[in-house]
Amino acid sequence: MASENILDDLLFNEESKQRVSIFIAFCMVLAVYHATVFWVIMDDDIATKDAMEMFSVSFNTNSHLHEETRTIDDGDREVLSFEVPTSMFDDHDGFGVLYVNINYQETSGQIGDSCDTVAADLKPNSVQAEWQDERNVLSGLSTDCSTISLALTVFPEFTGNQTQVADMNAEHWAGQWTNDAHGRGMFELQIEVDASQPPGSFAPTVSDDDEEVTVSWEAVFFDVVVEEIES
Amino acid sequence: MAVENLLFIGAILSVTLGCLALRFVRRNEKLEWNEKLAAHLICLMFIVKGLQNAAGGYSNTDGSESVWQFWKALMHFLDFYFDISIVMIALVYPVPILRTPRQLKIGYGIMVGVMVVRLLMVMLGRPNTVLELFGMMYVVCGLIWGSVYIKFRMLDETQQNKSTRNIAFVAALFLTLLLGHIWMYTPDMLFLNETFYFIDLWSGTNMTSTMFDYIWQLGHVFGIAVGLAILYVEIKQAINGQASPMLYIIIAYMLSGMLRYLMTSFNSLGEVGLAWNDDFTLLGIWNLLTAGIHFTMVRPLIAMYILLRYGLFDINENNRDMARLMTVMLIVVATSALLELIQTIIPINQMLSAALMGILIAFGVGWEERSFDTMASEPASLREDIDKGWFPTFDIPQRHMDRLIMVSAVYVVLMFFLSFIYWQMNIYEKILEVV
Repeated sequence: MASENILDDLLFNEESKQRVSIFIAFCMVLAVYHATVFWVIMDDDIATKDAMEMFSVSFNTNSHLHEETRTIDDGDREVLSFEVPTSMFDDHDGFGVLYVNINYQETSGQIGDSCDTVAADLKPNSVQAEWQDERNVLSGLSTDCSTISLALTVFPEFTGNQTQVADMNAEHWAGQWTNDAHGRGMFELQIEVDASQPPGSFAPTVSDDDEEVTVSWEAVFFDVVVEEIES
Repeated sequence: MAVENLLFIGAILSVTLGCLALRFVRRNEKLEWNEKLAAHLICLMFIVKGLQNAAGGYSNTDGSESVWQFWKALMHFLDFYFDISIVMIALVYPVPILRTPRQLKIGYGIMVGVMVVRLLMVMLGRPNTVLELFGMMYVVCGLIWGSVYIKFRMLDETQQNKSTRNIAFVAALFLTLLLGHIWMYTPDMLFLNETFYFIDLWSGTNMTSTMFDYIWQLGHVFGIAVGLAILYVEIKQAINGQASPMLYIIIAYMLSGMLRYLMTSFNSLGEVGLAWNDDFTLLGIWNLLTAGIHFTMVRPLIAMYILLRYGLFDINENNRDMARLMTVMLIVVATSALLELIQTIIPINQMLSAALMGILIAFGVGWEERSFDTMASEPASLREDIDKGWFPTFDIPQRHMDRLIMVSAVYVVLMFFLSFIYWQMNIYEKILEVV
């Protein structure tokens, strides 16, 4: 017959006393084992477990350059394409940023002919890149023969500057900066020329109806270097 | 994202189970006092746990702005309720440890006292102190349910009957619900792995003291001891020709823990992204499919099983359809969520996964038809042929249960408000700056 006290049935009952006592003793043995490990064997490791390791992340950059000259008729809009060779992706950790410079001079040779107007537009397409990044310059216009400079961040958050990060390990941070999917594919640059007519352009031999434009593509690739900062 | 999604799915499952089950439990007039208390507490516990899971999901996604403090605080404060209510269940079910109204008042009074101390510390802006005794519920529940399990599971064959086996199994199921994820840490604890000894509720910060971490881990140690004891008893009984499904359950948990130990011991294996999906590591996926699923899906399903199988619902002709709808809903949500999760990790064609989901749900619902009828028509007994002294009789009026529900609702509202204050006053960020 059970009593009002549960312990009578669980601990002081002859049938179960031994079994339940062994169970409780086993729990205590494990608790002592854990206390020994926690407070003695691993105490130093446990005390410093929240001290985060610091790493410096820097980048060795290497650029792939490509230049192309095209003569574009007045009023025309042409699209120039550019694709980075696969070997660059194989040789580096990532494609950081793409710079495009568009140069031109007044080439009509007419006296008094002022610079033409050239507009350039790097069109967002399916290439994996940070098309919405605030630092991007995706379009530009020149009316004075000055260089139009465009820039597109390809690898997320890439600035090329050295940074410091905390926690995790060097492999983790190197892994964060290694990805060959960014920047693969064909970039498209749209260029439009609006040629200005020289004085006397009413004469049949005096006209400016095209312009020679030179486009320089610079694909900046990087190799990441992660080093632990000794405290 | 998969972890957060799983937490949201767990939230839906827990809240749905809790609310629907509470409706059934309140209308069940056949329950004895201890069953009534346990059933109400199980339902309320899972409603609150569901809200906690949702807060956990949001706290993982909103990492950058100060709102993380709201979700973290809510998650932590709602966990107090789970802690206290699971101990309260252990004190009365499957066999009441507290056997008289006086013992019940003292026992439950102590638990309410622990809760009050925790809330006072939180309101004084001193969360995460050792006074919270965070982790002690594992010790208390482990010792209570563990002792009950051993007592009834290891009875001589002549003294065993269906009820003794059921009592042992229910105690083991509750232990699985509470400690399943801890059993996976067994090799880590025994072989001094950092994965276990660096367990910290606020990992990466100095928010908790070493003593707080020790008490929290101590709870895990008792959980592991209980798991090893269950494994030993089940193997012994299986050799004696008395195998139970619990043997397979405990082996599954221990085995998944051993595989995780293998991954964490050779850290690089766990760290490497999968060949077909760089967003996941092998270790991450393993944790998601084992501990993650235990927290979010297995827990509600075990609770559901106990409620249905051991007569805590009174299924009759009036509510049979509703009860069936509830189980089908849970099966469909759990199945589709699981498949979606697998699809996130492994690239299965969408048409193929849709077909697979159809097949799995068809099996699930088909299984539900059969098993639901068995469970609802013949609830398993815990009292038949058992000495009446194990189940003292006294009455707890329904109005006390209604008060319990009311107090729980007020607690949840209060915790939302407290968490809001923690967020608006930047309390966690200030504590972190100070330490």
